[in-house]
Amino acid sequence: MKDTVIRLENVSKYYKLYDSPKDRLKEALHPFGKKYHREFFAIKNISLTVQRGEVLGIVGRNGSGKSTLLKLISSVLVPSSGTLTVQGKVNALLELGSGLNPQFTGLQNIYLMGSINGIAQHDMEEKIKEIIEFSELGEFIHQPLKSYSSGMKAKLAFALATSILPEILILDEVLSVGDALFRRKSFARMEQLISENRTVLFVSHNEESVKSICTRAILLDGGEMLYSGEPAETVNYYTELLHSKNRKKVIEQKILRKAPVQSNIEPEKNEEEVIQTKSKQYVKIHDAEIKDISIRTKTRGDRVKVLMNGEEYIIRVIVFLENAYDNVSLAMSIKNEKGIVVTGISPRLSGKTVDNKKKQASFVLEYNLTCCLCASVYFLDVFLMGDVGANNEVLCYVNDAVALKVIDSRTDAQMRFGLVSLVELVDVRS
Amino acid sequence: MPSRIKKFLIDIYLQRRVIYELAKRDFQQQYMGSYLGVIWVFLQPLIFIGILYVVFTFGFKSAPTTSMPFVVYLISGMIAWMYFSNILSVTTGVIVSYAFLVKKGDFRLSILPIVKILSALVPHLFFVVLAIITAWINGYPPSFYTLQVFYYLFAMVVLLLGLSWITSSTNIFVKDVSKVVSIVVQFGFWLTPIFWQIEKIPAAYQWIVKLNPAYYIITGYRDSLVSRIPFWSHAWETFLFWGMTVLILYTGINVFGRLRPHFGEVV
Repeated sequence: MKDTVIRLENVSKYYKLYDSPKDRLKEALHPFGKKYHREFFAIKNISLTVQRGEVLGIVGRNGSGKSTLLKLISSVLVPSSGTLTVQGKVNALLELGSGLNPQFTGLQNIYLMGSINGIAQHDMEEKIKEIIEFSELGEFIHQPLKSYSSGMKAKLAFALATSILPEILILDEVLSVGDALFRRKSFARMEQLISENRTVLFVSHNEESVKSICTRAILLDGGEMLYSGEPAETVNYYTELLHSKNRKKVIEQKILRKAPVQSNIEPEKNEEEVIQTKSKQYVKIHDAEIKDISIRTKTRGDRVKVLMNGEEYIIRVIVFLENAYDNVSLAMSIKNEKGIVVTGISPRLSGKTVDNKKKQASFVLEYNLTCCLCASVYFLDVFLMGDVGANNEVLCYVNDAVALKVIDSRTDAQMRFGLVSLVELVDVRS
Repeated sequence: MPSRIKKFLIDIYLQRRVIYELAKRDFQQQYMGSYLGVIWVFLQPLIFIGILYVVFTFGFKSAPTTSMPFVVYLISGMIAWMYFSNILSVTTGVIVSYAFLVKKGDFRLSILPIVKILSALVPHLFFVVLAIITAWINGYPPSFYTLQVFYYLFAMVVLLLGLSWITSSTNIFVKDVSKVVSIVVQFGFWLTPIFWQIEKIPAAYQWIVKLNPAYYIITGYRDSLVSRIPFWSHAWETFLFWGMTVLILYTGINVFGRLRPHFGEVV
């Protein structure tokens, strides 16, 4: 079932900045529509459609318009221009404890929300038990909301919002205050909602959760939608933007990169010996390049493209420095398809760094890889670091440089699942 | 009826369960946390009426000469005024006090004044009964005309709805509205014939007092509970009142509707 539940066409939202509140009233009631305001655009010309069953992640820096976008969709705010249509009941958790009355007890709030959302009395009794259990509030459910900690408020709000079974659920950074256990439970609940073909809009600064739960993610910056696509891609772009000093350059580069990716890596002759990834992203910031990445067996040094669970390998990287840099090191991380980092290493402070005094120098770096990854496909990110002025900065990096296909070739028929296999059965005694 | 107004009113009808639920909670909340609890809702107005009675009868040594015993005259007018003034001042700030609902986008905030009107209805009906009993004790037993009190109550509620939609929505943007309302309520107590008689004013100036819509209601309460005068005998006043009320209601719906989209930005 593919139908559009949210459609935005060239939607803009500007806040009217008034010099005093009474100007706002004068303008709203002025019979000839005289203007009393200055305009500040929080959302600029966004066009977006969301299908039923999608989990849309929204990332962006503070003040990039994420919350405004969600408020527009949940019709707390009205767009200044453009058209916005939303089909189905929206339940929005916009701010911590919003929509809940701080004077009422938790239980009274549950009843109130139930009647606002038109839930019949007899269904309510059942739901209340479920909500109290899920929110882990226990006796506190009889205390006024204002005495709750922020975590408790978030738990109650989340339990309420999800048990009312909205067609569209909007979560604005609400899970960040819950503890890790609750977050896991919440994700499970969200996955259940998603499996029921409900739509979720999800704002988070936690990149891992965006990558793991969303089916698509968009990046907002300064009220504009810079990017829409795979969550991992979007998050990468976002991190790039976030950490770079020259944001304009990053955006320009990204726009260029939308054209077919032009890789600067020049592999040795036997190109097919590593699996090239479609999503490879090569970013050169300073005068240094990552020339080649290869995976070799530890014993014989042969290049391989498929790795066996339980074997040892060498990751060999050739870097090329056009200029002299001190403290050159290469960090890398291995992530799974959802972008979750399984392992990473940064030898930056280890002393095993290179002080390169020459121009035009190549280095070979070798890393040991004990492949305890479970059978699946993983991706390698590499970052070349070096001193630029007083700071140790990224000289260039490659996201999704190489795909590591791992198979389980062992014959003991133990089923190894998860991301890594660390546990082995060795003995059974009576 | 323009479709905008029709939609406004239909929306309210669809929310009746929510209104009931909110009104119940609102009533509970008024006495939550106090020892005497619900008694306060009744005690404070009773004491006020008592003090007024004592001051006028003993303090000034002479109660105003009225066509009926002063206590009956005072109570029958006072209960209507207390309901009117209480709702008017409370609803002015109602959106701000329910700010948490503004963030629920699809919530019809226009029902909030109705919630207040409903939750205050319980004590009001108690006072109506009290007034009937007081009148009875003083030789004015209830009659068919007593039922008119429901007509006047309805008239008052319609007037209050229109007024509260205007004051509650504009008050968000201009805080002065609540100050103006509290002044109007204070002066209204003295300018409306609650404890004095309109007959004391020269006939040529009585029309000024009658422009006050509260006058129509307070006199109406008195007519129903005590004097047994049917409302159709005041044809001109009835016409004037409903003319003003419909105008206020129309303005209220339009002002509220036009300001509603901006609430999210200010509250």
